[in-house]
Amino acid sequence: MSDHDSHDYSSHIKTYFLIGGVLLIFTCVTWAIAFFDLGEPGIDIVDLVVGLGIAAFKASLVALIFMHLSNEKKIIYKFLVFTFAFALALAGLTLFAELDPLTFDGFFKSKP
Amino acid sequence: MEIPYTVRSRPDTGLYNAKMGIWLFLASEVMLFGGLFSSYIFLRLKAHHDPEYFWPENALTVLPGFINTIILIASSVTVLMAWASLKMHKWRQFQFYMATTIICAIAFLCLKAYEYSGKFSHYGFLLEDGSRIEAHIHDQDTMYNGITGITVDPSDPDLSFLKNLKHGAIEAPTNHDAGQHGDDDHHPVAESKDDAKPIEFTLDGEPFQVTARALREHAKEHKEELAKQEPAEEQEDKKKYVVTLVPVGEVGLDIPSKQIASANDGEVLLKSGARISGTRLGEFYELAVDQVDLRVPVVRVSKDLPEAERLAALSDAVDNSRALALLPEKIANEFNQNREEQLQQFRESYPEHDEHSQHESLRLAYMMNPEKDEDGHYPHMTLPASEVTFNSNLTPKYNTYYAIYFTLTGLHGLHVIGGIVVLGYFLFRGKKLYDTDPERMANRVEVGGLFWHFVDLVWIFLFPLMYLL
Repeated sequence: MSDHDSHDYSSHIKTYFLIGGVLLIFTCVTWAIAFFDLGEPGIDIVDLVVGLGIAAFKASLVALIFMHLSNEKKIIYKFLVFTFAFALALAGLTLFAELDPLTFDGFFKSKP
Repeated sequence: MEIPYTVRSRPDTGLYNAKMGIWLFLASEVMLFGGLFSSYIFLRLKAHHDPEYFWPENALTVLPGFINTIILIASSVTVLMAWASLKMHKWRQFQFYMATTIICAIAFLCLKAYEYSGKFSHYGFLLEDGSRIEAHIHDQDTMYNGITGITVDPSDPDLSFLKNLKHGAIEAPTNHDAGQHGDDDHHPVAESKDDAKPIEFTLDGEPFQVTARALREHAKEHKEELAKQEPAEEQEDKKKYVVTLVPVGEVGLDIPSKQIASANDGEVLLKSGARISGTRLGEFYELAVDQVDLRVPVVRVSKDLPEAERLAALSDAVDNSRALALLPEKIANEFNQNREEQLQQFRESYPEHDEHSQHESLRLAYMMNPEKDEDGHYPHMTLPASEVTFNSNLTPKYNTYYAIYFTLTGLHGLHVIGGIVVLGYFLFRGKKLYDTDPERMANRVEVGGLFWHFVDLVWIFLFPLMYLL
């Protein structure tokens, strides 16, 4: 049994190092992309989507391979569905603030 | 009591209990960080809705964040290897990988501390017209002219401030020749070459050679005289005996502000106890400038002016900005050159955009980091405190950006510290459990590893958000 186990893990170990390498490469890609201003000049939704898209891809590799979510028990997926639903709801609540802004005169505004 | 399902799976969930627990915990963590991340994105996207409230651009150096990303990814692999080693019953290998993980975590925190200390020691100055200067403070001095008297306690004189006294009237420092000289010229003084000639004083109208010893002897004589007049036990006058030294001729004083206990226009009390009368000239910061930001004076130019008038008004806004007026000429020239280049580049890259209505053009053309000199120092300038309407180091007080930056990275840093504690416990106290129940030990490490991967996962989002966007 232990022989079989050892064999099993050594193939896992290869995957772990491979994924580690992929993550490092995409970290460099994120940095490289930051030198180009995508979409409109300045930060806008395109920059955010590309930047966060790469981050989401890296995060999903960590979650699926390192955290073994690619092959996990059903109940954990049930938890996570609710987690993301609530996280999105929280994000939505924050962004709703735009519909009902506090009015103020600006920070540190000196007299004209 | 035996804890159930530490190794075997619970029939209804299909999991051992600790795994169930860690996933519930991580689920709550996702919501916590998710909320904070959405606040960050909200602030970032909406930051330029108030035209006068600018987001600090390129506030973080990318390299430390990049290295930290690599460190955390590497430690994620090593913590997996530590778990796999336990599954394969290789304790020595487990120790190696777990120790590597913890060393990575400590290295991460060291880099983070380096970054934080940079923010704490770095200051932003807001000037009257909204222009900003960011800099490191070398010195903060208060200058007095026409010193009429220096009052000290002769029995315990601290005369270190005497070296700050200068012959003649001190002139307000200017930045005419700043940026080319060394440290010696930090205190521009009218007659600094005269320093070799000692300043003369009088005490009670008589010429007096001021040394600590002479003052102590004077105090001793005074005490003996008092004792002669009345017996010591009846002596009621417990008030401290002080003497007033009067300098001969016109004398000015240049005091580092941290030595000052309190000050007003006619008098200054030092922490050493000395009291000096004179006329306050003002307070001055000695700075090493690393950023000039004129975006606010530029957006104040009305957008309704006809094109030609507006371009002229924009040039005026830059030329007449307080920051450029106060900065050494060298930096001002560098700034103008940079502005021309950036605007030219912008016209070529985005021909369809009105250059002055876009924040990107503002960032490129109206912010500048001065070049370092040959020794790697940022150029030096003297900034009168009277010009500054607000200043702070780069902390939440300075800008909302720093509030969300410190909240997010601080909370993440606390998680790293938590990871070090838990993984360190496995490394140093785990042998006993490993010997009695290796599978249970492996499960513990798996659960600790899951937490550690989550810490890595949060950083994967933090790095592009904070450092790159």
